[in-house]
Formats: sequence, C-alpha cells, structure tokens
Amino acid sequence: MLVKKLFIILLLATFTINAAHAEQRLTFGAKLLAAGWNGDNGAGRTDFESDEGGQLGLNISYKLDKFYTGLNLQRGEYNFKDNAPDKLTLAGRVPSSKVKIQQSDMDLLVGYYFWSQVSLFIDIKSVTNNWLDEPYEQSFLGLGLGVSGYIPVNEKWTLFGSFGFIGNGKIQDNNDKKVGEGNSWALEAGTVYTINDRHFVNAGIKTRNYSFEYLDSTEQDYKINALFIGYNYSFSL
Amino acid sequence: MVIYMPKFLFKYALVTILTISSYAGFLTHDAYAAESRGISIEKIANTPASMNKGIYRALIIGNNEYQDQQGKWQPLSTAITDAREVARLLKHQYGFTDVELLENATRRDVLFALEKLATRSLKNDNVLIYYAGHGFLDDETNKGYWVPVDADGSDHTTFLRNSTIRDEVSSIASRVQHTLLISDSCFSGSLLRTASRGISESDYSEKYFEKVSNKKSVQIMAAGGFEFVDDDYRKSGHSPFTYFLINELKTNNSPMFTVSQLSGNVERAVANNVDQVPESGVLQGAGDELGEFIFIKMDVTVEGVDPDKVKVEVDVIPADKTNTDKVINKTIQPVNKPKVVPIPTL
Repeated sequence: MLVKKLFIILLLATFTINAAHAEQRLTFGAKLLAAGWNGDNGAGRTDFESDEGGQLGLNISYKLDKFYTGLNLQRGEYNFKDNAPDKLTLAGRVPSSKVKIQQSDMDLLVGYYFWSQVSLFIDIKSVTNNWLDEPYEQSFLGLGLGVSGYIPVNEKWTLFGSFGFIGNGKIQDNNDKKVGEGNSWALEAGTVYTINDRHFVNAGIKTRNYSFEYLDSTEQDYKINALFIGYNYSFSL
Repeated sequence: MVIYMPKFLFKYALVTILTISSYAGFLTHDAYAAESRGISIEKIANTPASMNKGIYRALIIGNNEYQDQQGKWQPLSTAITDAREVARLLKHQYGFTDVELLENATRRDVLFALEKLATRSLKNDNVLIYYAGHGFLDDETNKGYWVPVDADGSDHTTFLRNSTIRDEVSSIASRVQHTLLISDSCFSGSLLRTASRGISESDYSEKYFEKVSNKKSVQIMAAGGFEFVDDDYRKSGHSPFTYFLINELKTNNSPMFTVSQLSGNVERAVANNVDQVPESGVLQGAGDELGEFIFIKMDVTVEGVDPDKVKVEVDVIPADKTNTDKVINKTIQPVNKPKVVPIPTL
C-alpha cells in the first residue's frame, strides 16, 4: 500500500515538472563487479560458497530535474566447487553441487529527490539464476522501495549510497510455477570521480541479501557481496 | 595655476595629491603645497567638501575561451582584450586601486568574485563591474543570461541568470555608495530598466557633482538591448561597444565625469557606427536613488599649459589594507552538486 502511494506521488511529482526549464540528462553506464555468493540451504542443511565471480552491468538513466528513471541489466557467473544452492521444484528440494550458476539481474526504477541530496525510489527487480548445463532456472521477482543519497566531498569527488528492501517477492521455477516467497535487501556505498561534465567513474561496495521461504516451509538464505567499478557517460538534453 | 582634486579623494579614499601644477577649472584653492609624499594633506577651499568619499574598486570579466562541447557557444576573439584594456584604463587613468581581472571565467568564478567583491567593499566605495562575453535571451521566458565559459549547450542552469546577477550586484550595492555594471554581451539590455537622469553639459557644476555623489546609484550600461552585438569592430581588437567606451574614457578631459555623460556619448557613437543600440539605466530593484557614479580622471590636460606642469600624482594605500569595516559573514558554499550519481539498484 505504501509503495502504491509513493508510486502515485512520484508520478504526480513528475507531471508537475516544467520540462522546458528543468535540467534533463541522459546517462549511460557500465559496471564491473567482483562478487562472491554464499549462504545456507536452511537449518540442518548444507552451506554453500562460490568462488569469486564476476558480473557485468549496463544501465541507462534519464534525469529530469528531481525525477529520474533507469534500467539496469546485469549478468555474471558463479562457480560452486562444492555445495551450491538447492534447486527448488514443485516436487521438492533437489540438492545441487559442483555447478556454475549464471545470475541475471534487471532493475527498472523510478526515483525522486524529495530532499536536495536524498531521493526515494521504487525498483521493479528481477533476478534469474540459471544452473548452467542443467535444465533448471529459478527467478525472483519483486517490487522494492529504497532510499539513496549523495554527499559532495569536493569539486571532483562525491560519496553516494543507497539502501532498499523488497518484501514478499515471488520465487518461480523454470516452469514459471511459484515455489515460494522471499525478501531481499541491498546496501550500496561508493564514490564518484568527475572527470569532466560528461565522463564519470565510480567504485564501491555492495551487498545483497536474500531470505527465501519455500512452499514446503523450508528456507534458504544467501548474500552476494561485491566490489565494483563503473563508468558513466552523461550529457544534457 | 594649480590643479586640485576634490577633497574626498584625500580624506577617505586614501589618495593624496603630491604635486599639483596648473588647472583653470571649477576647483579653486588657497594654495597649499604638499611637503612630503603622502602625508601632508593641506586644507583645500571651495571644493565639494561633502561629496562622497570612497575607494574605487572594479571586477573586470572577459570571456573568450568557451568550452562548450555542443558547439553552441563559440569562442570570442575580443572579450579578453576588451577586459584588459578597461582594467588598464581604470587603474592608470581613473584611480581604481582595487581591480580584479577575471579571464575566461566559469560560472563559479564569477559568483565567487562577486562574493569576494561584496565582502571587501565598504560603505562609501565606488564599485564597477564589467562583463564581456556571450549573452543569451530565452525567447519563451524573456529571461536574460550571461554565459560563462563552462556553459553547456542549451542547459540554462549552467548560465548566469539576470536575476542571479541582479542579486549579487544588489548585495554589493547595499554595502557601497555607487555601483556601475557594464555589460558588453548580447541581450544585456534585459538587465536594466531605463531611468532618466543627467542634465545638459553646461549644468555639470560642482554642486551637481556633490549632489549626485551623495545619492546612492546602481547604474548599468549595456552593449545592446535585446539584439545580438558584434565581436570585432573594424579589426580593432575590441567590440564596438567597448571600443567606444575605451575611446571615451581615454579622450575624456574632465576631472569628473558621470556615467550619464559617458553612456550618452558611448550610445551615440555606437549607434552612429554600427547596427547596435546600447542602453543605459538602473539595475532593477537594487536601491538606486538617482545618484551618479563619477569617474575621476587622474591625468588631465590643460590648454596652454605645459603637460609636464599639469601633473596629479596619487599615493594609494592598497585597498585590502583599508577594509576595516565590518565584513559580511556570508560565504558562498562551493556548489559541488554532481551532475551524475550512479542509479541505485536493489
């Protein structure tokens, strides 16, 4: 309900912006993450930890005065030499080990700077985990709410950060059947270096945490911690 | 015969006349010789004793090297030359003791310089701000802008809006006696409203100077009203407006010269020679009381008198050592708002 109200506020705020006089910017970005995925398959079950995997993200965003919207696509592989996250099917849990899992993320978000350096945003999030060489895919889809902000340090350097939460996201198997529900939160912090008015680089850390509860009432928790570097190209419209 | 400058130059502006030769003008005297450099201030009779007293300060801005990657703001060829020459004339011929020359100024440079100028200006000072560079008029909103060298295409937020300039100049004007803004850019006339002042040449009496010097003034001279203005006038290295402004300042031979006189002469000269009509008036809402900014020429000639004997020397204490008045405790915080922060994701 809260998310719905916020979404309406964001839309109203968008329509009240006089586009003729507001700053409009289009930004393209690329992000490289070095990440590790670890967690457990629930009480009394196996733990798992991947080798360090990499993810590449591409994003585009549009900013109109205090309003912004963006799309982020990210993909990477994680190699589990030993135990891995269990596969969840309608028939039950299937243990998994010595696999590579390809993870694909998509974020479609809208945000608004309600304060000069702090914004609230809504993110439609999709995470798809594909067990490579095995016919199994699991996806998590949810609507999240977050807060982000920045602190300028000087003319060149800016600190930024964000925190967001997704509640009651839907978990589906590769037959698009719901197999459970889950919550997720993410915390990100980093710094941006302004090369000039168009070119920016950034670096930081990010952690994503997932808590899943399956239809059979068993649980799975995991987190993905990452270091990232990124580049943005931006210009006024 | 001896030439005397008005008394106010001695007492408060920290200017002392050392060698005084001859001048048959409206300033008369009871012969007083300076005995030693800079300290022997003698009584001078029949000068406008109650004229404004203050330091002459100037902020001169010239923008040639525009960096706009979108190509909307092309480099100019004469703005810096204009600015340098105006600064030189004010320093060497008009007794300006505090002259800051800003070349290729960014938006922040201009705002910081205006802020600094406001901070160090004192109650009785005379402050001149000169800008040469691109200007812009938004046809839809009828709002005018100065365009700094870091302007980004059509992004108005990277320009200096007239209301911002007006606010900064008003802040300075609120602290000083006389303020003059000279803007040599396209559409600079959008800064002003016209106001009639000034009198016929024959009425420029001592009493008149005294009267207008004691009334607050916030005047503006603009190269053009709402039209484009030229860059290089007849390959002189100056814009038409500044070419004639410099010419007037150089050829003026009166010890005291008001902005109304100066602007009238410049406007006529420009309009007679190029397709451009300069304007002058007051800066809207900045507290003008129909006073006059008065230029004091330090180097006048007198017909029939050997130029070597017509000599006014001034000994000036650096202006930064004179700022003993209360300083405004207002500082502009650096505007470090980043253009881009990575989009947040969950």
